[in-house]
Formats: sequence, C-alpha cells, structure tokens
Amino acid sequence: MVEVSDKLKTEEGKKDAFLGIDIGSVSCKFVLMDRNGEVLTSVFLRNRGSPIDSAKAGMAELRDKIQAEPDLLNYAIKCCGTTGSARYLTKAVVGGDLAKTEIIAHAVATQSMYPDVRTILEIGGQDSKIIILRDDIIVDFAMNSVCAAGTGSFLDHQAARLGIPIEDFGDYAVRSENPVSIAGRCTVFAESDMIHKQNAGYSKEDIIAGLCDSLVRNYMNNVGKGKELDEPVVFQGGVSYNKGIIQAFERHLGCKVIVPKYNVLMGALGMAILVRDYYVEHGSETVFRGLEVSDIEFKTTTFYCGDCPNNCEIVQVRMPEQDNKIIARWGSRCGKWDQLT
Amino acid sequence: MELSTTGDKKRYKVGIPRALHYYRYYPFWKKLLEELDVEIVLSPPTNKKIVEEGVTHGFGELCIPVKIYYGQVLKLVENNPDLDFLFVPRYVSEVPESYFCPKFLSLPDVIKILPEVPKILNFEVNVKEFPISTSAIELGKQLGKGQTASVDAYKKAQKYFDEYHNFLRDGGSVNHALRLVHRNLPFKLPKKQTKGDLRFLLLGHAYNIFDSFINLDFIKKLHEQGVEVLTIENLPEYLFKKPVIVNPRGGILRNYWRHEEEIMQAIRFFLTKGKNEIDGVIFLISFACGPDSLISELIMRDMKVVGLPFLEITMDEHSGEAGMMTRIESFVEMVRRKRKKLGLEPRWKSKIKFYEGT
Repeated sequence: MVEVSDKLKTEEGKKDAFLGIDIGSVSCKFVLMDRNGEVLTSVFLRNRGSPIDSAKAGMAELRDKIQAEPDLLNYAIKCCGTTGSARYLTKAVVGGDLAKTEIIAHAVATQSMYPDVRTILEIGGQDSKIIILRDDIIVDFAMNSVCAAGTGSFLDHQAARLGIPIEDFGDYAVRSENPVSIAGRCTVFAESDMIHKQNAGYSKEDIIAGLCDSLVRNYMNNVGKGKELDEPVVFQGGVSYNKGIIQAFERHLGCKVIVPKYNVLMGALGMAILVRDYYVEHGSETVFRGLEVSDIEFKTTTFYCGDCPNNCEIVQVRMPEQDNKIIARWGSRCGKWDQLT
Repeated sequence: MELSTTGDKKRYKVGIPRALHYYRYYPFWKKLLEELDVEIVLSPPTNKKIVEEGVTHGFGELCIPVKIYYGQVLKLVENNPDLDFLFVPRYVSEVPESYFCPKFLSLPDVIKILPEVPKILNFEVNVKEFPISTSAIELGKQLGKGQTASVDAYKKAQKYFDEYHNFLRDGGSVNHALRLVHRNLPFKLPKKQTKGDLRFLLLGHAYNIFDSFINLDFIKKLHEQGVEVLTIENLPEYLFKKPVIVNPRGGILRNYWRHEEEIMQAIRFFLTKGKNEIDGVIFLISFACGPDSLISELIMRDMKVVGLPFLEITMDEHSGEAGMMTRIESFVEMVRRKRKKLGLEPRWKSKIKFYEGT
C-alpha cells in the first residue's frame, strides 16, 4: 500500500497533481486536481472526532480511490494546500505547503468556473459567508459572526425533528403552495415558531418552505447586510443541495442562482488551484507527507502556560512514532511557545 | 489637607488605571501630575485576570473597554492599598459642541461602586463651561497647590503633550510613544521600523486599538501579514480643524460625538485626495458601542463610493482568535490580490503625501 503512495508522491515522469484539503466545522473535503484544473478525484466526509482524525480518514479514502483507478497512478502530488477553520492544524499534520482562508479559496474556485461571477453565497455546516467580486477582483466579503442561524446544522436538526431525511428537505419545500411565515431572526425562536405552526396543523411542506424563506431572510440581514448582490450569483456549500433554499434565494434576489457542479468541494478545489499557482510560481519542493499520513499517529496535548496572568492554553501536536517529536505548537499570546525547539 | 500643613516632604500617591483615556491623555496627565509633585502609580497592562474581574463587576450594558477600566481600578487598588487618590478625570467636552460618551462623563461617580476605592482625584474638562486651565487649578487645590503652580504645571503638561503629538505625526506609534513616556525617555523613532507592501488605516478608539490584550494583538497581526498600519494619531493636525458635516442637505448637522468626529475627519482625507495613499480601512469596534455602529455604516457607504476595501471588526470579551484571524487574513489577501491584478507596486514605506491647506 505504502508503495503506491510513495510512487504517487515522488516518481519522475508522472503527470502533476495538486491536492486541496478543506476541513470545516462539520465536514472535510479533499480534491485532487491536475495541472489544467480538472478534478481527478475527490473525497467528502463528515468530520471525525478531530481535524487530525478527519484528515487521516480522508487521506485513507483518497488512497483507496487512487488504487481503484489505474489512471490516477500516472499522477504525482506536487503540492498540497489546506483551508477551512482547521487549516493550520491540518497543514502541520499532512505537511501542507500553503494555508489560505476559506474566503479566498472559495472565490478562486468559483472564478475558475465562472470568471464573471459578481456574488458568491456560501452556506456550510456551521458558517455562512458572502463574497462580492467586481471585474475579476474580490472587493468585499462577510462571514456570520455571532449567530449560526440558517446554516446546515440547523437544517439538519429540523429535518430530524420533522422526521424527514435531510436529502428530501428541498423537495418538500418545492411542493409547497403557501409557505407559512416563520420567525427567522434566531434559530431558537424559529424552532418554537415551527412547533407552534406544526401544532396548529400546517402541512410539513408549507412549514419547510417557510423555514427556507426565513433562513434566506436571516442570511440577507446578517451576512449580506449592506452589500449589492449583483448577477451572476453563485451559491455553494452544503446547503446549496437544498432546492428549497435555492428557490428562496431566487425569489429574494429576483434573479437566477447558479449552483456549481462541485458545490460542496469549492473550498478544496480553490485550495488545489492556489497551490498549483504557488507551485508554478515558486517550483519549490513539497513538504507533503504523502497519502500514508493516514497510517501515522499524531497526538495533540494541551497545557496552561502559567508564566503570566494570561495563563494561555497551549496546544501541541506530537508524532509518537518519531521520538515524540513536536511538529506544531500554538496558542501563546506572547509567542514564546511558537518556537519548536 | 493635614499632610501639606506639616511641611512634611511626603508626596501624594496617585493611581491611574491603564484603560480608556489612558491611551489618549496619559502623557498629559503624567506631566501635569508630576509637576504638581505627585507620585504616579500605573496599573499593569490588561490581562485575562483583569478582564475577568472587570466583567464580574461591570453591570448592564457596559462595553468591554469600560469593564476593563473597572478591572484595572480593582487591580490598581489591590496592588497599592496605600493610594492617596485614584485619578478618574471627567472628560465632558474637549472642543466646543462636541462631547464624549456618557460613560466617560459619569466615570468618576460610577467608579465609586467598586469596593475599597480610595478618594477620587477630580479633573473635569468641559470647555463649554470653563477653560482647561481652570480644570488644572481645581485639580491643584485638591493636592494643596496654589493657582500659579497649577497653571504653570498645566502649561508644561500641554507643551509636553504637543511634543508627544508631533512625534506621533512624524510616524511614531502610540504604544511605542507611551513606553517612552513611561520611562521618561526622549521621543525617538525606533531604528527598526515595520515595513509592509500594503498600508491600512486602522480606525477606532485608542483604547480599542492600543490595548493589545483585548484586541488580540491586532496591530501585530497586521504587521505579521506584511501590512503597515496608520492610525488617526499619525495624521497631520490640519485634517482635524474643520468639523464634519454629516448630511449637508439636512442643515448643519455636526457629529455630536468627539471620538467619532475625529474618525470621520480622518476618513474625509482618504475619501478625496488621499484615496491612493492607503489600500484599505479597518474599523475596530467594541460590541455595544452605539456611536461607532452609527458611523461605521456611514464609513462603509463612503468607502464603497471611492472603492476602498473596508472591514469592520467587532470585538468583545468572547472574541475568538480563529474568527478574527480568518477575517484579517482574508482581507489582507483580498487587497494584495487586487494590487497584483492592477499591477501596482508594493508600497514599502513610501511617504504619504499630505497636502497642506485643504
């Protein structure tokens, strides 16, 4: 097994491939891309216990996919980049060459498919963002700050409560003829409002459609506040699977909303593109550990520094199989723990 | 005042909390009080413990900077049980028709709710009612000093404060300058200056921008990203001479709030002649600040008109480092990519051209 991935990483005379990893709050995404920006293969997983476990699980699945497809063995991973809220931890673990924020990664991916895009809506598991572009340049962005209302986790929860699979959620909304009005400012209120409407006898379809509407309204007021949302509008992230939300956005914006082919992989794809450009520009040796990362053991520990009243919580990642070597450490405000030696 | 009548050499020990107006007036206060023969004790830089104490004692709708003030007072009193006075000035109005936030106005009264607070040393600045020299005379009285001595001290303090401001306008950073003031060193720029290929204007109240604990070392984070930071204090004086008229069509509506007016005045230059001198504007706001939330909206609209990237960051005691980092990194990257695409040269400490007399 290890031979395969070793070959993939180093052997000469192979075609170049680039790996983008996006580890978010709920799921992790891996995209293997060739030099021309074509997606060779991808992995989408729900997060495991920690970003490290997720990264390892993703790598294992990627390795299996590569083994199953002989064509992919003709590629060698030249560079690897990470994004998402766990980008630095993941970078340390897999040996990433570059870490960028989700905003940049998403924008780059969308631009590669829709060069004239002017508005990107992204709703993921626990956060939502908006990116505004003009003339090929990112000019503004916003992220949800104090409130996770209207993100994937909430929809998940409500679907479970209504007893329907989340995959069918959108279909229910589309069938509705009279969406009910549901308080959308806060998920806690939205939920009690929903229960109230359920008990009053409204149909599931109408309640779900109303919920989609209220989520879009909430998104517009919180994240999209004060921004000019011009066409073309691209909608991505896990929630863009939901037809009900797509329709609600279209109603609100009064224009067509495009959902890209790789709607949930955009962050990882963007990272693969960024890391390719980085490789082309710098041509540097990769520090990527290879797909066998899934077999390496990593351990994170935390401790309180205690040297000053701030009492920072320090996180460190070790490799027990390599003399317990510390590969990353962060968390101190003064920076004194940032040095690894 | 028993002490002064005995002719004893004992000097009064006065505590100053390192919070709020400390970041704006400390050099002035230090000179003024020292000229009045006072020993000054300063509380330590903000840390986690201080914030926690402040949050516990702060009530209701207070913003985090005021809660920190509480924490700083408690720390000061805890470290120095022998304080004769706590210096809690009351800044009402510093220029005519412009006022500080009510939380500043009420500070000397409100602070008394804290346990074991020593006598408050009063210093009220309210130019609508009386000149600052009068404030100084009233201050001197509490310390047993005569009118001449107090006015003299005020003049010296003002002169020193002017020097301090000139140093900032020459490019000194507030935190560096305050360190020099603290150690009684002359104003001199550090040999090693931070350089960046981008230049941002960082807006906000001094107590938000220069308290590096509560803003999670915001300026350092920008420096690490290769960004040169300009603050209001670095801008030339003439920009702040003319009042800002918020809505010219609605009559002469002046910005009522002192800090916010300064922010708007600073922005005005970068909306017109100075718009190519910076690459972006970041406004650091503390959660629950009413006036800031108002002008943030105005600034955002103005920035859109001139096409300058703008980022508002709201912080409170729960601010997460990860969320803030993602915003800063995204913003810096966005601006850098823009400059690259437009084929602009990196700035690397190029001088800003401030046109006089506009």
